[in-house]
Parts: sequence; C-alpha cells; structure tokens
Amino acid sequence: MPGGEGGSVDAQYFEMLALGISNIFQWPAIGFLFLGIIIGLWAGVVPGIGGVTGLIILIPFTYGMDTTSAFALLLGMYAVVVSADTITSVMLGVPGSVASQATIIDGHAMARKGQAARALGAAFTCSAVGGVVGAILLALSIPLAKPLVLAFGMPEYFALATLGLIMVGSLSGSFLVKGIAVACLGLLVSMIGASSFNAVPRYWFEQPYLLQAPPLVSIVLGFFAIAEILDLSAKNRNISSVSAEEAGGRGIIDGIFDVARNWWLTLRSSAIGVYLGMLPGLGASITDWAAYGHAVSTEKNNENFGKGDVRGVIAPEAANNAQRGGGLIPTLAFGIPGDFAMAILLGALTIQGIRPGVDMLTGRLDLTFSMIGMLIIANIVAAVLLIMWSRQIARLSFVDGHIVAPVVLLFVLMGAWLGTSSMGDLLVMLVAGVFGYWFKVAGWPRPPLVIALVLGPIMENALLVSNRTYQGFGWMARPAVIVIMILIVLTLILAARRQWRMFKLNREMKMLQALRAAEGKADPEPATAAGGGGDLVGRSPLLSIPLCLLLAGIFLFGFVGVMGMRTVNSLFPQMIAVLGGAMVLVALLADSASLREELRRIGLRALLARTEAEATLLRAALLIGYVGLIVLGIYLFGQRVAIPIMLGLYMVLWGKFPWWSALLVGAGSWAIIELLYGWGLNIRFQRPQFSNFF
Amino acid sequence: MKKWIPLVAASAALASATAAKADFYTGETINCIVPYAAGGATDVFFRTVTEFLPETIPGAPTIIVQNMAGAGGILANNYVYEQADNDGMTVLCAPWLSIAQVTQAEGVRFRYDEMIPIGSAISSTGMLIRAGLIDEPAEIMERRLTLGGLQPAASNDLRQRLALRIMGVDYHYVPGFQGDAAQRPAMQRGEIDVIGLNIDAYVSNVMDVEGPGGTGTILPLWYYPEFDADMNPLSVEVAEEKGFVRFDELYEEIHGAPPSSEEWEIYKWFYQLANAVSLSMWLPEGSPDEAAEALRTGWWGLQEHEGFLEAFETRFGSRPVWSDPEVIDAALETLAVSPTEHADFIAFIQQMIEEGSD
Repeated sequence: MPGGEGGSVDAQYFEMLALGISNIFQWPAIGFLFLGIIIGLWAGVVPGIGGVTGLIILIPFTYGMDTTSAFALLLGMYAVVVSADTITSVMLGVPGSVASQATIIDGHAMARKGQAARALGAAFTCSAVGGVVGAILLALSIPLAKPLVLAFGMPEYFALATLGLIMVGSLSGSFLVKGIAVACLGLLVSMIGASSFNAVPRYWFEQPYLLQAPPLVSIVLGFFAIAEILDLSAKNRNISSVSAEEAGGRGIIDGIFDVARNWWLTLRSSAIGVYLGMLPGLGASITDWAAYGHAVSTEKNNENFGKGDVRGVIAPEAANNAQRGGGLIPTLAFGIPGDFAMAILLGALTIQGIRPGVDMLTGRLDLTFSMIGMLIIANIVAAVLLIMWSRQIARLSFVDGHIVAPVVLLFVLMGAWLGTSSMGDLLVMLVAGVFGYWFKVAGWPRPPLVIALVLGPIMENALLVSNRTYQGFGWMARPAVIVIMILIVLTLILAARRQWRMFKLNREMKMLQALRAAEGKADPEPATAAGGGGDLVGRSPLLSIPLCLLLAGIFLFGFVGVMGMRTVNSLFPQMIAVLGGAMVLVALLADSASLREELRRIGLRALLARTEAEATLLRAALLIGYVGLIVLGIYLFGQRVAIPIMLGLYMVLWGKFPWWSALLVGAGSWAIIELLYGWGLNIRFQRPQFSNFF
Repeated sequence: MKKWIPLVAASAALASATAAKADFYTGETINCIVPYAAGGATDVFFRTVTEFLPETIPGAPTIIVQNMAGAGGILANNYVYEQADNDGMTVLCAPWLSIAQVTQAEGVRFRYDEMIPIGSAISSTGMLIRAGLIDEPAEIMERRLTLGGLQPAASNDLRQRLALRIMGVDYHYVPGFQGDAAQRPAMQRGEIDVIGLNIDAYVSNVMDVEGPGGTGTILPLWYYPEFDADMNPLSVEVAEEKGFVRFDELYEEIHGAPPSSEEWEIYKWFYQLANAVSLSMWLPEGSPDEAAEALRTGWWGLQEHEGFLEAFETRFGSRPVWSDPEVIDAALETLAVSPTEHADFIAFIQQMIEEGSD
C-alpha cells in the first residue's frame, strides 16, 4: 500500500479506491466511457487510424468536460484499440499497431488454416483478461513503479531495445540470421533524415522530404498490407487457404476455452505487459514480443509456434492490453510520457488542470484508480462486443479475395495519407509494398523491420548519451546491463537450438522425399517443416539471393554514406551496417548452398517454374503497377476521383465481376472517402495537379 | 454627414478585416510544432497557451500540439522553416535558438529573420542540481559536475556551460537529452548532476511533481539575472522566492568580487541576443497575412484573458511576461545583418559548440 505507514494509510488507500471506482459509474462519465469504447473499436479496425489519431480527434471534445468524463472518453477509446486492431493482424497479417505485430505470426497462420474465429475468440478473451489482470496488478504495484522506472537508465534502454530486436529477429522467422539482418535494415532506414543529435542529415539524397523521419504508418501499410493484397489478388485466393467446410466447427468458443486452458500463460503475459509497459518509450513496442518469446521458451510442445499455435496469440494479446495500464504510470506519476499517445493524455491532464506527479499516487489517487477502473471496464466491454461480432468478422476469411482487396486497398491508401498528407508518404508506401511482397515470397521475416524503425532513434540516442556519460563503453559493466546482456545471449542460444532442431527435421523430411521420389512416388512440392517454418533458407533461393545482394548493397551504402561525418553521426549507422552486412553474407552463403542443392535435386527449369508458381511474379508486377497508377491518379486528380474509379476498375478487370459491382464499389469508396475522411476526420486531400499540365 | 464617411469606411474596413481573420481559421486545425519531448518545459508552456488560444483567435480553430523532438530543437525549426506548408496551418512553438543561427551551427538551416513572428513570452532561466551532492551552493567548486544538455548549439546548453566556465567549476557535458522530461529521470537516477531550466518550468515540472517545496531529488542552484540598459544585473523576484541564488552574487560570494572576465562580457552579449525573445510562435515565410493577423490577435488577446492568466499562474507560479513586439523586431534586425563587430564572441561560442560536439 502507498506509504505503508499504518492502518490509516491503508484505510485512505481503500477509501480512494472506492471513490475512484464509484466516480466511473456517475453520469455522464459512464456514457462517455461507452462512447469511447465504440470509437476505439472503430479506430482499431480501420488501418492507419489507431489510438494516437483517435486521441487527437477526441481531445478537443474534452475541453468542457469534467475530469472523470474526459478521461472516460479518452481511456475508453485508447484501451480498446489494441483489442480491435487484432482483427487486421489475424485476418490480413497487417499489424494494426506496433503493439500487435507478434499476433500476426500465429494469428494469421490460424486464419490461413481456416481458424480465424478461434484465433479471434482467443485474442479478444485474453485481451480482456490481460487488460483486467494488468490493471489489477498495476493497482497493487503502484509502490513499485518509481523504483522500476528509475532503475532503467540510458544504458539499460539501449540493452533492452537490443534484447527486443533480438527477440523479434529470432521469433519472427525461420532463420535467426535473416531476422537480425532485417532488424538492422530497419535500424538503418530509421537513420534516414536529420540526426536527432545535431540535425545533420544522413542518407537524404538532397531531397527535403527525406529530412524527416521515415513515415512509420506508410511503411507498415506498404510492407504488410500491400504485400498481402498482392498475395490475395495475384494468387486469386481467399484469406483462408481452406474452405469454410474444411475448416470445420473450430470457432469462437474454442478460442475462449483456449484461454481458460492457458490461464497461467495469460497471467504471466499480463504481468510482462504491465511491468514492461512502465518503461517509457520501450513498453509499447516490445511487450508483445517479450510475451511471445516467453511463451515460446517456457511452454511445452512448442514446435507449432509460428504455424498457428493459439498460445502464440494468447501471449502477445494479453500483454499488449496489460501494457496500456503500465504505460499510464510514468505519465501520471512523473510527467514522463512513454509514447506519443501518452503525451497526448498528458496534454489532456494539463487541460483538466491536473499536474502529473507524486500527487497522482497520493492526493489524487482516486483519479488514478478511476483510470485503472476505466481500463478494466473498457477491456471487458470491448471483448464482449468483439466476441459478439467475431463470427461475422471470421467469415471474411472465406470471402473471395477480390472483394476483400479493394476494400483493404481503400483504407490502406487513405491510412498512408493520414500521416502527413503528403504524396511522398504514398510513394514510400508503394516502395515498401514492393519490398514487403519480395520479403514475403522470398521467405524473409518482416516484423523486425517495423520494430527496428521504432527503436532505432531511441537506441542511437541511448547509445550516444551512455557513451558520453561514461566517456566510453564503461556503461556495459552496469549490473542491470549485464543481466540484460545475459538474456540476449540466452535468447540467441535458445533460438539457435530451436532452429537447428527444425533444420534437422527439415533435412530428414527432404531425405524422405528423395527416397519417395526414387521409389517413383515423387511429391511435386518441396517438403519443409510446416510452411517453411523449419527451412533455414525459406522459399525459393532464386528470390532470396537477389534480395541478399540488394541488402548487402544497402548495408555497404549505409556504411560508406556516413563516412567522414562526426562520430556521433556515424557510430550507430556504421555499427548496424557492419552487423547487418555480416548477417546478409551468412544468409547468402546459406541461400547459395540451398540453390546448389535445389539445382542438383530438381534442375533449373523446375526451380524456375516453382518460383513463378510460388511468387506469381508477373501478376504481382502488374498489380504493383496498378497500385502505382492509383498513386499517380491521386496526384493528378485527387483521392475523391482516382480511388473510386480505380477500385471500380479493379472489380471488373481483376475480379472479373460485372460492371454494376464496379459502380457499387466506386460509389461506396467515394462515400467512405467523403464521410469518414473528409467530414469525419477533416483531412486535407491531395490538390489535383492535372490542370497544371495544361 | 461627410465627417462620418471616413468613420463608416473605417468601420467597414475593420469589420471586413475581422471577418477575413475569422473566416481564415473557421473550422480549421492548426499544428503547433513543439521542438522538445512532451511533458517538458516548452511543451507544458505551449499546451497551456494552446488550450486558451482558440478562444482568442478569430474563427476559433482547433489547435493540436505536435512534439518534434531532436537536435536540441533544430530539427523542428528546420522543418517549419523549409518544409512545412506555408498555409497558416503550421506554427513553430519554440524557444528562440538565435545563438544557433548566429553561429551557423552544424545542421542549422532555419532563419528567424525570414519567418513571421507572432509573439513571445520571456522566462528567466536557472540551474538545478541533484539533491545530496552539496549542502551549500558554494560547495560546487569542490566537485566535478556532469551537466545534462540538449544539443551543443542550443542556447540553454551554451548558457549553462558558459556559466560553469565563468564560475570555474569542473564539469563534464553530456548532450543528447530530448528535453527536461528526459533529463529529470536521468538526474534522479544519478546519471547527471546539473541541468538548466527556466524558472516557470521548475515550478510546474519539478516543484509540483515532487511535492511542495521540492521534496527531494532536484533542487535550485542559481538563476541568471536580467540586465538594465547599462548591463547592470537585476534580481528576479520569482526566482528568489523559489530558492534560487543570483548567479553573479554567488560568484561574488565564492570569489570575493563580481564577475569581470572576458567570458562574463561574452555572457552579457549572449544575454542580449538570446533573451530578447524566448518562448515564441512563428509562421513559415510566405504564410498568408490573414493567418499572421489572426494569430497575433489571439496571442495578444491572451494578455487579457483572465481564464488563461489564472491557469498560467496556477501552473507556473506567476503570470507570464510578454516580449515587446518592438524588441522582437529589433532582435530580428540584429539577426538579419552579419554581426561582424562581435566576431570574436561568435568565434568563442563556435569553439564551445565544437568542443561539445565531439
């Protein structure tokens, strides 16, 4: 209990608790809480909006409200975004936010196997449990908050961010080396623009647009969503690779029972979420991965992680909802917002005339408890609503991909525009889409890139400040840093061991296949330990080797491009360029060995045919060209004209639907652009440039 | 009747101008770019200002504070100067980094004299020290201190380093923190010993956060005096009320005589350039006149807005002090011309920036 100085303090604690909870149920606060929850569900489902935009939209409405109502609206919305954005993670393989990336690995794999309803049922249930458990742990742990936050200095931040990246790199793909290489690529990309130390521009090619930090939302949407749309459209498939009948009755109830069966994992993951969530800056981006990594390393029978294991959904989803509560503590108690969303909440506190500080843990503890109570209620209500809708949502996985693709494309194009309303962001999205598809078909992991983009500036800043403070690398001898370094080594050893086992299993399967071929029972598909999960090389080396070479070139440029600059500007990019380059070389060696083996086994012609069958390169190229045409159309004619026309054309030309469906899609997308983005979000559209050419 | 014609015309012009100003921001959203992390001194100041500005700007626009931390504020200044749309919807809300512009520090591309000033408030600055290091201010001479800073060319960092040099304190400079919201926990962890902060922010971000009187971990050390027309130091009442000691008086207590070195002369020149303007709003060059007019109306309207003044006093412990528009214009003229007469001083500061960068 706070203070812990006797019975009167305890009595005051419970008095504050009762007052805080009862305040939530006063009218109009409770009404605003429900309104916030509904808006949060909407903001979570629509790509590119998310919690931050939701808060920005809602803040002006709180000016005239009483304090409890204002926070009921804001926290109701903010708490449930990470529940709702699970839908895009599971259904489309597109992370709704940085906090829901880990869910993709097993959640989307389950949707591909026709188990979307089960994945969603489990995700929504454990989101609620995680949110509630997290909030309760938070209430009990308030006295621990200050020592925990203060125990992590700049050196620990750097070490912890490194651990986060290693975890993501080792868990998100079949080959650790490629995971680390992609993380290095993300870190290098995050260095584009003006240095956060002294504003000296790096890798900017004299283009003013590149002086700013790379647009995260555009990159995420391109890297994941565009790549998935290409996959859906180019291969004429649905989200689920099996039919609704084949998928059977595995549904929402199964998912709910999965959480009950894995209650201990849910509790552990919630604890990870709330305590890591207390660390400003890092919490939101690494909690889901930390929980996922914890599940993989501690759960028995873990060979199905990465291939659609429901525990791979439960761990990150419990953690990312619990993190919301943890993130409140540094904001309320120390005035240190952990992320941009918390910065906005801090602004809301200021607007309400409340100053963050120890007072929030003593004199205004009732308000702190109200906030914790709001998180609990919001998580439960959101879970109930989402579970009620999950059956309908899950049916989408069996809908024709050509119907899903234009709808998703509309939200992706508008989501990328929301960031800075710049054509540059759309171009970045397009380029990221090409790379995302290439990574996907070449079997390279994608999540490490996104988390590295978020962590890059934090890591560089922490490294520079640590080096300056200790006048060298003496900070590595700090006890907490040593502990984290040991965890890094353990993570690497565990990942290497797991992948070695998968590699051996894969070789045995291939030998078996060769044996069957010799007996005249040839299998046309190469065997891997479930969907490439156990194949160190991934898919066709013909796609991976050129990617290796390109990445090697990028890392080389990354090293050379900052030569001659001050150490503060060159140290971190060159460190990651060297590490990334080394990883790429190892990957290249592995891919080359795989290529030789494939050539010996099936020959060049068959390998080429298989590569084309896996990647559908021609159709994918045409589709990329089509998305490029939409971007050009937006530049020339604006969103209101270009998007409805082009999406209508998609229905006829790609989907082979009748003309009336084109009109329906065109009119529907126009209405969404006008109502949702124009009227609702009041965004500035692209000014048509067509007339400037005449 | 004739004598009324000019009055009617003037009224019509005024009404038309007011309507134009009101029309300009009606239903619009303004992005206020703050160059430091949320929760810091500048951020809290502008969040307080922008909470009330919609009530005083004709057209009652929505204002969103957007934090663009990095490079001690240079990133955001560059962004507004060279990249932001000059449509009146993006405003720089920042301390004025005149020294960075005058010294042409690395990475600086902005020029205040080419931007459009809206208004400025002035704030006295002081130095804070980690509790437990010393019992009396004079004991700083016996320790090597670690100064936490933002960026080597940031005015606040240069002011603190210059002061430590004048005082003769042995110090180690650690730049890279993205505002005092990042410095305060580092100080509580013992990673850094001293930071520079304005007095308003000390009241709102340190005293109030730590409890009345500053319960513990961060304490006031000294504050920097204002100067009269003859450059004689003046006391700042609000700083002394909060427990700060005047810098030159502390110097005299330690060294037995007032400061008189060449570095002190450089400090006074620095003061004239850096303190004319402080927390200020700027539009990018080429922004519409209606936007500048409407924003200025809003800014100056705050001076008489009781709700704002009360809220400000509650948060910062005193009412705001506003920069005179003529002083802002004069400071901009100084920046526009090459100040060759102070070439030695500028070279000295450039050398300090260089030393702090490596």
